[in-house]
Amino acid sequence: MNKKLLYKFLSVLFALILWQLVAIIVNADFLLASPISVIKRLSELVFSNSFLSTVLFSFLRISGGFLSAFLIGIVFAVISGRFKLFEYLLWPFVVTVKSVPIASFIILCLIWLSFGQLTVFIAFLIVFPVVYSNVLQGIKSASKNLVEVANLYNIPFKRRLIYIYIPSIKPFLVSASNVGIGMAWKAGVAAEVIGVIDGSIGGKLYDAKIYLLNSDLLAWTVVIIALSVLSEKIFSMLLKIIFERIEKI
Amino acid sequence: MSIIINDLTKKYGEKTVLSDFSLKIEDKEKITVMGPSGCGKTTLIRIIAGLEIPDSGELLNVPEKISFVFQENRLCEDFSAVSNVMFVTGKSISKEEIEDNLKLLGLSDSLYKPVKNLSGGMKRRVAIARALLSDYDLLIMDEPFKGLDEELKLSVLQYVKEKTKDKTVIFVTHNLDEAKLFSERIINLI
Repeated sequence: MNKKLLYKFLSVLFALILWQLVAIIVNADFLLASPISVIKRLSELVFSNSFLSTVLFSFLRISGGFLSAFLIGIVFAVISGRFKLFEYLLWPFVVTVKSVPIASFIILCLIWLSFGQLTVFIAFLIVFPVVYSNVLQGIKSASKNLVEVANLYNIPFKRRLIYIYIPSIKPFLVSASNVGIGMAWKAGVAAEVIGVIDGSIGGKLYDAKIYLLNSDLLAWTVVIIALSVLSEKIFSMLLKIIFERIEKI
Repeated sequence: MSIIINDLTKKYGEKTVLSDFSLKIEDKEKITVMGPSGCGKTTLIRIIAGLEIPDSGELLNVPEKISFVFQENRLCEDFSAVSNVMFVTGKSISKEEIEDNLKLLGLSDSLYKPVKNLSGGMKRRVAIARALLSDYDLLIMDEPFKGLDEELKLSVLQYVKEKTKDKTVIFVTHNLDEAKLFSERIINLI
């Protein structure tokens, strides 16, 4: 085990011990469940009949929202990079979505969308501006020298995209995806809680709140964190493979 | 057809870089433009290539297809040497031809390595190959041999001479020996 990993492990251990101590002092599971009771509850949940369907329900919708925001964000940023007018047209929407509290959107969307659509749309809404802004910044930071070469040789757009713009947006896209996945899970689950969506992780969090089941609340939170981290790792790996393939062209 | 440059003037703010400059370049002629730093060599060739607009003057019969070896390498750093040439050529020439030319420039072991991992001299040769393998009627080279050691410079210069036999070339350098070896006429910008 290297030093960095050891320090991380020790800091997690320290946090868990601290949590256990506070839980012992509070001495009321409905106020603060101890890590031991959370782990116990988590192991019960994982083997329960509804666990997989609950996880799948939220995972598919949040991932759907994230992926559509990711793709549409890239496409819109490319269009904005080419046509300034499009960037100006989109600007008020992007600024509004960035600054309006997500709870306002969730409540507004509850009127317009079905429960199933709500999570997808909210995850989309929170991720889209992040991907769009990052990719547009990447396009704008493309090497002026290379663009001049491309202009001199009348290089078609597809080749410019592969050789100039994709390498330029790569670091911005990787960072947007890492941030975006975490945000999609936070906003998606918040939408499920506010919308009281049955059969979702957010729905389970809502039940835990109503029935003061603190160990359930924290156990589901652990599940959310695990899913968020796992999604981030898988997506980062996929992006890495895609970029490597492009660079081998 | 000869390229004709008439009374070209270019200013950057208060500073006049080119003043009523005129020149005629014959078809397939190889000329070298020399002069001290800041005398307007790069500005002149950038105007000829259509990368800058002059304040006044005219350019006649400048070919549409121009290739350029810039002072900087301007390569796609994440891509291989072969890919960098293909960036400009597309599929107009075969991969084998690109590989053969890069091998002639001493890049046999680095054909498919990302250029970011190559040395300065190797990158320079990739930039030269990219310009020479593209489809052009006029080749402009701005200090193309900068960063190459003497021995390598001679072999690359020989390769460039061979490849540009029936082309019009404008060559910018500070080195009189390079100019004499390569070109038929030397223009001094003062």
